[in-house]
Amino acid sequence: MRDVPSAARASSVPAGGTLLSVEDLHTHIATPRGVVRAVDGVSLTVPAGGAVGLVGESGSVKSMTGFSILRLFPTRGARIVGGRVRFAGRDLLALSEEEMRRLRGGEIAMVFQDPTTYLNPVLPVGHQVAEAYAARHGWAGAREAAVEALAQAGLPDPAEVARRYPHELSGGMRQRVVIAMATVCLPRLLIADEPTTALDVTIQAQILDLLQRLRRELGMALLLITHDLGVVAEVCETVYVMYAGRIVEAGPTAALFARPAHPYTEGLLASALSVEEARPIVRVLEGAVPDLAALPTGCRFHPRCPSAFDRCRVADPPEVSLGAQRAACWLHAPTP
Amino acid sequence: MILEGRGLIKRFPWGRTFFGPRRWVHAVSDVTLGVRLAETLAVVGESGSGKTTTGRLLAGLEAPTAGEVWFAGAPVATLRGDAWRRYRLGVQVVFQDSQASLNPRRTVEQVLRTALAARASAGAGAGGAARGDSAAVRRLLTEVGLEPPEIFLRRFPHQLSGGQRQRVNIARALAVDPEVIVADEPISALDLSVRAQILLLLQRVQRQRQLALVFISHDLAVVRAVAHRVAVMYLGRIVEEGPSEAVFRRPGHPYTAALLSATPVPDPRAARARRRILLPGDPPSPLAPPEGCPFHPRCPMVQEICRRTFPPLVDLGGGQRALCHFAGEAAWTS
Repeated sequence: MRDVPSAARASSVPAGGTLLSVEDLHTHIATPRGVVRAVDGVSLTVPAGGAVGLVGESGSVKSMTGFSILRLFPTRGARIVGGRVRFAGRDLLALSEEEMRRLRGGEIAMVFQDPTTYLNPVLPVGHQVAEAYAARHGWAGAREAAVEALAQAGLPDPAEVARRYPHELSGGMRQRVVIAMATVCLPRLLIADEPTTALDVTIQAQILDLLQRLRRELGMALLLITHDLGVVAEVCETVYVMYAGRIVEAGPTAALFARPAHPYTEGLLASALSVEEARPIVRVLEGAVPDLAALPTGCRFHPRCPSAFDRCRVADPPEVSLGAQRAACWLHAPTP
Repeated sequence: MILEGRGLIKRFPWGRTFFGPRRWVHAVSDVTLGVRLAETLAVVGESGSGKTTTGRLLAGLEAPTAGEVWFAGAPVATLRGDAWRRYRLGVQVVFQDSQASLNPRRTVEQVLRTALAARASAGAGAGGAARGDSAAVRRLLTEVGLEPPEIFLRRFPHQLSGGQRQRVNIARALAVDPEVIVADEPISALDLSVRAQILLLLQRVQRQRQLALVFISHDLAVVRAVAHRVAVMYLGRIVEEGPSEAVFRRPGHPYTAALLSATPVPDPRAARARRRILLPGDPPSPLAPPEGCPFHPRCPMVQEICRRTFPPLVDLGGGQRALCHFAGEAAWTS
C-alpha cells in the first residue's frame, strides 16, 4: 500500500475545508464568428474530500468550466479573462505553465468520457500508468506503483493487465486504467467529466462504486461533471446546475432535488425519469439550450421559462441566497 | 400480434479463411417476441445484447439466419406484391442518429412528400396524400409539433436542432400511415430536456394512432415510462419478458434485478436507501457465449447447474417469463 500522506494533507486543508474555490470565472473563446463568452461568471467550491456535481445539458459549458480550472483547453482560442481559481491556498491562475503542468496529474487529476482518447494504443497500459507516476516521482518504484494503482482501480490480476494493450481491454477496464493513471499520484482532487456516459449501466455502477471507494481510501475530493441527474443524486453531496455558461442554482443535493428553486432545475427534475416508479411525463421544458453566440437578453433561460415575466426579459437576474441553496432567478429576488 | 419474431437467429461472420468465416458472432439466438396494435413493447439491454439486431430483423432490414418474421398473421418471407408492400410501409423505423437518417440535400417538405407519395402509390392513401398535397405535409408537421409548419417546410436537416430532426424522422415514418414503428434508441443522442419532448411525442402518436411501437433502449427509466410490455435481452437472448409493471416490481431474472438496481435514480433519498447489486466483470463476447446459462459468469445467484445446463423459460404467471433455473427467486424488489 502506498502511503497516503493524509496527515500532511490535513495540515494544509482539513477535511471539509475548502480545497478548490472558483470565483467569478470568465473564459472566452475566439471563433470565426467573434468572441463567445463561454464560462460567464462561474463560482463554486469543492471541500476537501467532498463530492460536488456540476450538472447541465450540452451547451451549458460545464466541461469548459472543468478545463478552465485545469487551464487546459481542447480548442484553440479559449482564454481565461477573469476571476480567481484557488486550490489548497494557491492561486492557479498565477502559476507558471510549468507549475501548472506539475499540478495536473499530481494534486489535481482528471478523467474524461472516452478513455481511448487518453490511452496510447501502442504502449502496454501498465507502462502508461507508470509514466504518470514517473512524471512526478521518477521511474524508481514506478512499476510497483502502477500495478498497485491498477489493483486499487479494481482490475483483477493487475500485474497481468499491466502488460496488455488498450485494445485488449473492455471499455469498463479501459476506464479503470484511466482512473488508475489519474490516481497513481494520489490526487487531492479528481475532476471527472462524464466518466460513465459511454459505459453500459452495469459497468457504470462499477465505476461509480470505484470512484466512491477511491474518495474514501485516498481522501480525495471529486468534481463530477455530468448531465445525468441520477448519477448526481447517487454520488454528490453538493450540486451546481449550469445553464448557458452560468450557474443558475446550487445547494446540498438532497435539498435541491426536493425543493428546486430555479425553474430550469425544476423543469429538468420534472422530466427526469426513474426506474423506481412508473411516472408519466407530466411537464417538459420546451425549446433547447441557446447558442452561446446568440444569447437572449435578460435571463438566459427566459424564452423557455414558464414563469418568466417582464423583468426577466430585460435584466440579468441576481443570485439570491435561500438558506443553504442559491439561485439566479428574479422569482426569488426582493422586489425593489 | 401485428409483428412477430419466431425463433429468430442471426449470426454474422467474423474473420475469414479460404473455407469460409473463421468464427460467428451470435448476435441473436432464438428470439421469439411479438407486438400488438396499440401496444408499446420495449426491448432493453446493454451493448452487445442483440436488441438492435432484433429490431432490424423485425423491420426487415436484415434477413434472419434462421427463424421467421411474421406480419399481420403471415410469414414475411412468403409475402408478395401488395402484401409485401403493406409490410414494407406498415413497419417504419426511427433511428438514434437523426442526422444520418435524413438526406442532407433535401428539404423537410421534399422528405415528407416523397414518403406521402410512397403511400399513395401503394394505394393506401386514397387520393388525399398524392404527391403535391402540401396540406398533408402540413398536417404531419403539426402532428409532430413542428409549428407553424410554414417555417420548417424549406429547411434542410442541418438547419434543424437534433430534437427537430427527430420530429421530422417521426413525421416521415407516420407519412406512410404505418401500423408498427420500430424506434432504436430514438432519444439517446438528445439533450436531457429534449429527450422528454420526443418521448412525449412518441407516446402521443402511439396512443392516437393505435400504433404498435417497438421501443429499443438501454435506459430502464425511460422504458418504465413508456412500455406496456418489456423484453430484457442479454447476449443475444431474451432473458425475461412480461408486462412492464410486473417486470419492474418483481423482476424474475437476476440480470433484470441487477439492471434495475444499477440504474441511478434521480432522487438522493431513494438513492441512499437502495440496495445495489454490483455485477462483476463485463458481458462475455458473443463470439464465444459461455456454456450453460449465458448469464452464469456474472450472476450473483449462480449454482452448479447454471454452469452446465441451459436454463428453461419459466412461466411466472401473468405473462411474465424468465430464462433462469431459479426464476422468481431473485431477492430484489423495487
